[in-house]
Amino acid sequence: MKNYLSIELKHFAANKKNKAVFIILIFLGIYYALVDVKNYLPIEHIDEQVMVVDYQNRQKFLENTVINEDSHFSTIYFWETFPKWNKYEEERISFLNKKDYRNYARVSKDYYLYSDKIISESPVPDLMYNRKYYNNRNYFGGQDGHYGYLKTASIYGGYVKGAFPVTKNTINEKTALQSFYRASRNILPIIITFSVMFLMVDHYYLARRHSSIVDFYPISNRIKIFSQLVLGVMSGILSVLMFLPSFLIIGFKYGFGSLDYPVAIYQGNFLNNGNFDRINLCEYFQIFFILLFLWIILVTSSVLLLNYIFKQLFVTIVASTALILLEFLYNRRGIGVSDRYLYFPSSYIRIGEVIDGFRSFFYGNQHLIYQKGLLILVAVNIVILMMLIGLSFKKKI
Amino acid sequence: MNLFNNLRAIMERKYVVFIFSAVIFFFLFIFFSLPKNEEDSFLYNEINHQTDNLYVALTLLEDVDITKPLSSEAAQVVKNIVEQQALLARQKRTILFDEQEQFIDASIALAEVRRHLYNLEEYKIVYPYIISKNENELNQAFYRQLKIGKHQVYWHKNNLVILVIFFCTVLGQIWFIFSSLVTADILVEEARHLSVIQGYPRPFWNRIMAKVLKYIYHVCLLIVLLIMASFFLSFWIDSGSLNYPVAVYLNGYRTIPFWSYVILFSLYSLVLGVFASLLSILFNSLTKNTFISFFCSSILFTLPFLFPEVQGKTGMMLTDYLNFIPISQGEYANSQYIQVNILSSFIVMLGCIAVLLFIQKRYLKIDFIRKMRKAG
Repeated sequence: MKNYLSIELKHFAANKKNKAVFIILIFLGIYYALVDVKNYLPIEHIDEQVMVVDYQNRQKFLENTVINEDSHFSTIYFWETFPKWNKYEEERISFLNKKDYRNYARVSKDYYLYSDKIISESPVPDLMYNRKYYNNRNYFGGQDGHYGYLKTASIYGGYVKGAFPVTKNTINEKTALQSFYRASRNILPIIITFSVMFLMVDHYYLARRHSSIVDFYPISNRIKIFSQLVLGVMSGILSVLMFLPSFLIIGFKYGFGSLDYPVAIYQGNFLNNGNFDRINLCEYFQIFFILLFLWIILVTSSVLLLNYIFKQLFVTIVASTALILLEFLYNRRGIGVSDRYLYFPSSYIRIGEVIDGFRSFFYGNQHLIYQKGLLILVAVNIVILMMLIGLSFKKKI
Repeated sequence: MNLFNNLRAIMERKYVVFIFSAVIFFFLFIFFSLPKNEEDSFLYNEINHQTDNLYVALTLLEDVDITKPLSSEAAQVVKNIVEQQALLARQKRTILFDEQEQFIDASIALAEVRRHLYNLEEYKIVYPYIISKNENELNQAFYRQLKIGKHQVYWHKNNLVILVIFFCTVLGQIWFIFSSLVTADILVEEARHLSVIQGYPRPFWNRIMAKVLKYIYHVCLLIVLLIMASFFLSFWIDSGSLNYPVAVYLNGYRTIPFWSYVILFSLYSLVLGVFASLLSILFNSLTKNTFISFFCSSILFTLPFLFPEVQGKTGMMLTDYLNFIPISQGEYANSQYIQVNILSSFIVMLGCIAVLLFIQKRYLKIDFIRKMRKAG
């Protein structure tokens, strides 16, 4: 098997297309590091100007308002809630001026919890979450704001307790590990599965070109298939490694961050009234890489199966693209109310969003969690591998 | 005719798969887009979104005192938004009570009110929350035509006309990448049958053109099949009027009937497909690899997503012309050098095709194939 694998590796390394895939991956990573990370700011970033303006507005309201029997109930509500809100805001500004980010995180946590409480319980819709939640004509701004405030409070709570330095870049989610986490939520798994698909897709044709070597190699078909699966996993690992230069660029620019950083995990509940738990980035990446590994096996084995059955490059590309991107057909808010979407493997392609619970929130289904994704991916993998083993009993595949 | 007879000899299964997958995608799309309950109206949801956003836009201007005389522009913006809110509420009511004429009147009035907003200086504050000027003009043309032609408004996604329009928007996005995937090995594949080409009693150039013609033939077949599929679907789903207006940018904002929109869309897709196949020939002869030439086309396609600020500004970029939908909706109508509209895009695309044909006729020799075979 070792010799056979070395022949395959030789083909793999000599293929011009594979070099092109790796070069494209490196360029995408560098684009992400230089352009996307530079432009990115989370909605709850540090913006002192906004804080000061909000504080002054509320203070003006408190100074100019007189409460008596005829006052409107909303005015009374604001008059009762604003002093505490402003106290938090004042402390935030003062800690920001001292550049004491850990204490800033501590106060901000209370600030976000309190803001969410008074906004969601407000008797009139005049109190709103941060306006960026409503941008691009987002109808669900209120829900997103509720989710975002509780998530931010949970993460800031992690910053207070952690044994790592808290800097401005940490809070603005710009360090290398946080950027990697952000990419791994949605776009990175799609890119890696696609690159594995493109790396493995013409394997069959290369084997056919040298068929006298491949067919008469003294080795059973099952071991041939197994060695191709190993090659698929190796190509997946190589594709992940291609993002190392961009990781280093971000790290030297904004700092590498720490693996103890908190990740907020949404625990879904009825009518999206969930709450947040915390794990750290190290645990998150463990789960992420396990799911990514299962996806790589799934893509490789389905590419092999399609190649052996249809012997047609175009079919393989279209069908495996459909396997990966099927979610875009039904990717709508609240669609998870009907349970059948839980059983498509493509619902779990945005691995990070599945792990941190955003998919569960977006679909409106509390059962869409990574444990379920693990089960479904393993089940689909077993089915496809069984089919491959069945094929291997043929004399010539 | 001899040429076409010989085409059968080089027939592959690839095109069967191409047509099959496109038709399956059509059925899947229709299945997923059909509303799950009867009261699910896409127009009502859209109006709901707009109402909510106007509310946010008003909070941005909460410092403005409208009790003073309306001298400042910010106060005028506030007044305008309040008027829009009233009209949107009227639209919602008319959808709920199924009053077609009142709905059209309210929509025309709403477009008229919005039109004043875009000239104001303070519009910059609220622009993410209000539909763009371009969209508004299209809406106005559309509702005016509905009123003149006495059409019914379709506010549910339950008839084929609306579903096909939505399908065209999706297919237009991916058409270029799809056709460059199909034609990616158009020249590389010839290296496999070198002896056939050398012994073929026609010039090499004719053979390449025959392959492009074959692609055109299959695209036409696909279009016919899709029309037939919609015909059969119309036994189950309400078909709707074929004269239903569709708003486009065609020397100004105007509407064309649904059937001519479909014809325009198909023609542009055909031209784009030919362009993609000629581009594949060029990339194939340069890179001598199927996948790398497909990656080159994909890079051309993804550039505007990576650098959105260059898209549609000058009209000189090739990437402005790869998607029919923004062109037909006049999104790049204010481009600097060449005005990007349907007509100019046709001309630019045909010009590009002519240039590519000239280059390839002049420089494409059978030696390329021999070298390709050596390169493996």
